[in-house]
Order: sequence, then C-alpha cells, then structure tokens
Amino acid sequence: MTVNWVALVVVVVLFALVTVMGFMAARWRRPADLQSLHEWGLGGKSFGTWTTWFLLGGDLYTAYTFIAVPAAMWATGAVSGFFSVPYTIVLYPVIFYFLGRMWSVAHRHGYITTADIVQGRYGTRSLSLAVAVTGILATMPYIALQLVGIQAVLEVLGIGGESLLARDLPLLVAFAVLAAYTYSSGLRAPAMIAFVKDILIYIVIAVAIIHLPGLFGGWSSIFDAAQTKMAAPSAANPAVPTGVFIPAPAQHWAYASLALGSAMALFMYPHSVTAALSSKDRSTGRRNAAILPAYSLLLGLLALLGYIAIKAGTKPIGLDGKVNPQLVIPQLFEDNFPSWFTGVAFGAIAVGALVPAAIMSIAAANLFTRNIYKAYLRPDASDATEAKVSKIVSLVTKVGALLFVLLLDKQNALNFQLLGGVWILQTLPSIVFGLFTRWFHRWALLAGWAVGMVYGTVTAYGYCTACTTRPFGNSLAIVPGLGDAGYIGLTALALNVVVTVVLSALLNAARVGNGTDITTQSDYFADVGDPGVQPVLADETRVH
Amino acid sequence: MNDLRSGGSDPRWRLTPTKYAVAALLLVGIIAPLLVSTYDRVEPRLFGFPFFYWYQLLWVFLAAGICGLSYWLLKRERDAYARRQQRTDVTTGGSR
Repeated sequence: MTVNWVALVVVVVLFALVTVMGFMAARWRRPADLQSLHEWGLGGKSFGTWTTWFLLGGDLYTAYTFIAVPAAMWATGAVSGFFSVPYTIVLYPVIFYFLGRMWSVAHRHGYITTADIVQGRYGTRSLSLAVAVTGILATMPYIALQLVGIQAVLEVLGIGGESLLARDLPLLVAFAVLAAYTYSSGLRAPAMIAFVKDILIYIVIAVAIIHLPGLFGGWSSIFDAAQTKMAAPSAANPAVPTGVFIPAPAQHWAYASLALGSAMALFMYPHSVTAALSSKDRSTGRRNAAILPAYSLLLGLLALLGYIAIKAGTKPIGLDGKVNPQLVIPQLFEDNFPSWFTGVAFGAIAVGALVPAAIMSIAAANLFTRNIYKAYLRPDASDATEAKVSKIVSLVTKVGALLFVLLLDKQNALNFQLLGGVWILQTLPSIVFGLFTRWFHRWALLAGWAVGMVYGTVTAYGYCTACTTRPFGNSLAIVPGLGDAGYIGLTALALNVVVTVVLSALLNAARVGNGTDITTQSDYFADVGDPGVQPVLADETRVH
Repeated sequence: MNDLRSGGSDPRWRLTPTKYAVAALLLVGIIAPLLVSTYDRVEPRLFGFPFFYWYQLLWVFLAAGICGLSYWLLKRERDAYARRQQRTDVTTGGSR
C-alpha cells in the first residue's frame, strides 16, 4: 500500500487550519467561565437564521451523506441509498409540526434536552430516564458511522497495513483525533467550524458534480451503467439481482418506510435537539424548514456519485484486500482528481465527519450529566464537576461507538444510522405527543417505549440478509400483517403507539394519576420577549 | 376532560381553520414524496435522469414551497393574535 503523500499533507494542513480557526473563533468571544457545562456543552449562545441553518444542516451533512449513502448506492442501488432523498424532503414538513412548540416550552422552562421536556410534562423520572438512556444509546451507532467515514479517508490515503494491528490503524487514528478534539474544545469550536466545513464541502461537491459526469459520458450513460449493474446477478447470491435501480411494488414500503422513519427519528436525537433549541426565536426553526431543502438537493447529487463510481469502474479495495463499499467515494476522488484536490476533498470529508461526531457525543454527554448524573447520582454537583463528568461521558460514548464499529458489520455503514433510528424513534411518543396533548398516560408511554425497544432490538439483531454473520446487519424486516419488508424502526414505533393508545385509554378510564405537569398551555407558544422566556438556554434550571 | 389538558385556556391552543389548512398542507408534503408507485418508472427522462430520480429531486423544491407557505400562514395568524392582544391590553389598562 503506497501512501498518497501530497493528499495526506493537504489533509493534515486543512485539518490543522480548520481546528486553529475554530479555537480562535471560540477565543474571540471568550466566555467568563470555560469550566462550566454550560460553556463546554452548549456553546452558551443563541443563533440566528443563518447560523442555525448551518448547524441544522450540519446534522445532515455528515459521513452519512458523503460516505455511507453513495456507498449504498454503489453497492445495492436505490432502496438502500436513494431513500435518503425523500427522507430529507419529508423531514422538514415533519419537524414543522412540533419544532415551534418544542422551542417555546424549552425556552420558557430552560430545558436543553428531550428528557427535560418529558420530565416537565409528566413529572415522571422513570419516563425521562428512559428517554435519556435511549438518546445516549442511539447516538453511539450514529457516531460509529462518522468514525467509519474518517477511517475510509485514511484508508484510501494509504495509512495502515495488512497486519492484524495495522488494519485497524485508520480507525484507531480516527478515534484518537475525535476524542482529543472533543475533549479540548466543547461545542464552541465545532459550531464555529460548521461554516467552514460546509463551505468546503459545497466546493468539493460542486466540482465533483460538474466535472465527473462529463468525464464519464454524461448522466444518461451513468444511469445506464448503474441499471446494468443492479440487474446483474449478485456476487453473493446469483439467484437475486445485485441491487435495485427502481423499486418494484414489493419494495415500495421498504423505500417509503426507511425515508419516513429516518425523517421522524432525526429530531429526536440529542444533538439535533440541541441545534434546534439554540435558535434565537420561535420561528427560526420553521423559517429554516423552508430554506434547508437546499441541502436535500445536494444530498441527492452526492448519492448519485455512487452511480458515477459504477460507470467509472472505481474499485474500492480495502487494506485487507477485500472490497469495501465505504471506500468508493474517497477512491473515486483519488482516481480522478489531482492529488492536491483529493487532499481538499478528503479534508472536507474528515472534518465533516469529525465535527458532527463531536457535537453528537457532547449532546449525549449533556443528556447523561443533566438527566442521569444530576437527577439520580449527585444532585448537588458543582459546575466544574458537571463539566468534568460530561467530558468523561462523551469519551465513553465514543468508546461505545468504537465498539459498534468493531463488533458490527461496517460494510454497510448506513445501517449504523438506521440502527440508531430504531431506538431513538421509540422516544417519539413521549417527546412529541406531549407537546400537543396530555391525553397520553405516562405509564402507557413507558410501556409503549419498552415494547418498541424490545421488538426493534430483537428484530434488528436477528435479521441479516446483506451481511456476513455479524448481528444488526439489516434494518429491514417483513412487517407483520403486511407481508412486505419495511424499516424495523417504523414497525416498532407503530407497535409502540398502539400499546400507548390502548393503555392510555385504560389508565385514564381507571383514573390513574398521570404525573405532575408543570407546563401551561401558553408555554407552548411563548416567544422571545414574552415574560419568562430565556433567550439563551442555560443549564442552571433544575428539572428534577 | 379538562384535567387531561395543560393548565390554562390559551386561545392559541385551540384548532383554527389556519391550523387545519397547515396540517393538511404539510401532510401532502409528507405523503406525496413517499407514494413510490406514483414515480417508479424510467420514462420520461430529463437531462439523462430517469423519472424516478428527477421527480424526487423536484420534490425538494415543492417541499420547500409547502414549508414556506405554511410558515407564512402561521405567521399571519400569530400576527393577528398579537394585534388582538395589544388592543385588549390597551382597553384593559395594559396590565400583563
């Protein structure tokens, strides 16, 4: 394996530059007290439309977009990859329903996590604990996906070798960089870097989308090549075709449910909620819903890079000599661009995976410190202790992510995100339903969550069609009663909702107490300037 | 029934025609892009893109339009509410 030195140097320089810029920007508005959780974990500020746009967009523009989705398109086509386009389209109408109410109640009561919101509405610690634990668990595979992305870049650059230890070297380097970066910077630097990162990515995507199709005979022949590949017998099982170019009727629900499930899951993740709540007034999130779709268009074009790689005959061979679809985009760039531009692209991908991973692990750590550590273990912890605990937990979250990469099948990295979705979706009834009504009963929500978690985990664990022998290999399973395959997360959510509705009806009829609600109706419509609304969310408010 | 709802009786909690309209609009923006049977075909192509692919990219703009329209409708309602509030405040002596 030869190392691409020019590209490697460009990557390192870009990386150093972006990091220094992030720290300088953070220093420029230096907070009074860097040691508190508030500063380290929240960035301590409120953002306007454009900053929020970049922050929210950053949730989508991760290794998911430029490594996992094109890789899935390259390997098995539309159902495994292109569903991400309708996913990011329906995402905005979905969040439009509840983002305003979520912002208002959070800013009226000083909530910074989803578990806070649930605690305020139901006053039930077991329910908010369930939400917090699920949030932390579900974030781990999502971070794992980012690690796979950084690893892919390093592997194509030629770092690592064929020996047992050297084979995992890119992964370990990726992990070490992420851990060091998050530990020292907190949320401030990533928020500042989000601008630079997105601009860098735009340039790379624009160049790739303009330059590459012409190089390989235009879109028409690219789609033809993809269609031919998808129709050819699969290498693993010649009885079935390689992939799907256009979904057949039996695959419609799989395609639609993956898109809908992913869209409903995204704004349940701790990091997305942090980003959404950091906007400066109630309407910013909704205004963004109208301009964010620009991201979806680029995501669609990025997905199609997977098809371009098919036409280009890109061969993503890993250091172990085996085909690894995750390497297809880095390999496509290395084959077709001068070394320096390859370096720029790789730098953009690496920073673009690192920043979200840092934001995700910080958000998960906040959830732990606030809703588990302070609520259960040490209610009287000082600010400095809190910040310290958060830093340690964010490291633990990343170790968990590392375990996901090592233990599960990373050939289909997209699956990591979908696995996280299976879990996080089960918190949706507790978080979202409560924003609209108090009809749903706290114990019913808890029971529904438990049923959804068990069904989702068991089903996802056992089904494995495209992978080797590793667990959690596939996110699709036959939907009971429907007969077609569908996204496990959405099926589990449906079960969850049925259990919640039935039990709520019973418990309400039996007049079982439904917890203490400390919110009032007008809390859900509060905006900046209203009495009691905190423009900047701090974590001083106690919820437990 | 009242004990199941949140405290207070904020008029904004009530469902209005505008809210129904927005909910319906958004529902169209969610359901239409997921009806795979309406676009699972190759022809007609556009710039070499099969219908399946360009039609979904087209929805990016349609969804943005739906969200923009919904934003405007809700803003209009909120502004009207704020004006009414102001008038009530003036007539009742402005105490809040």
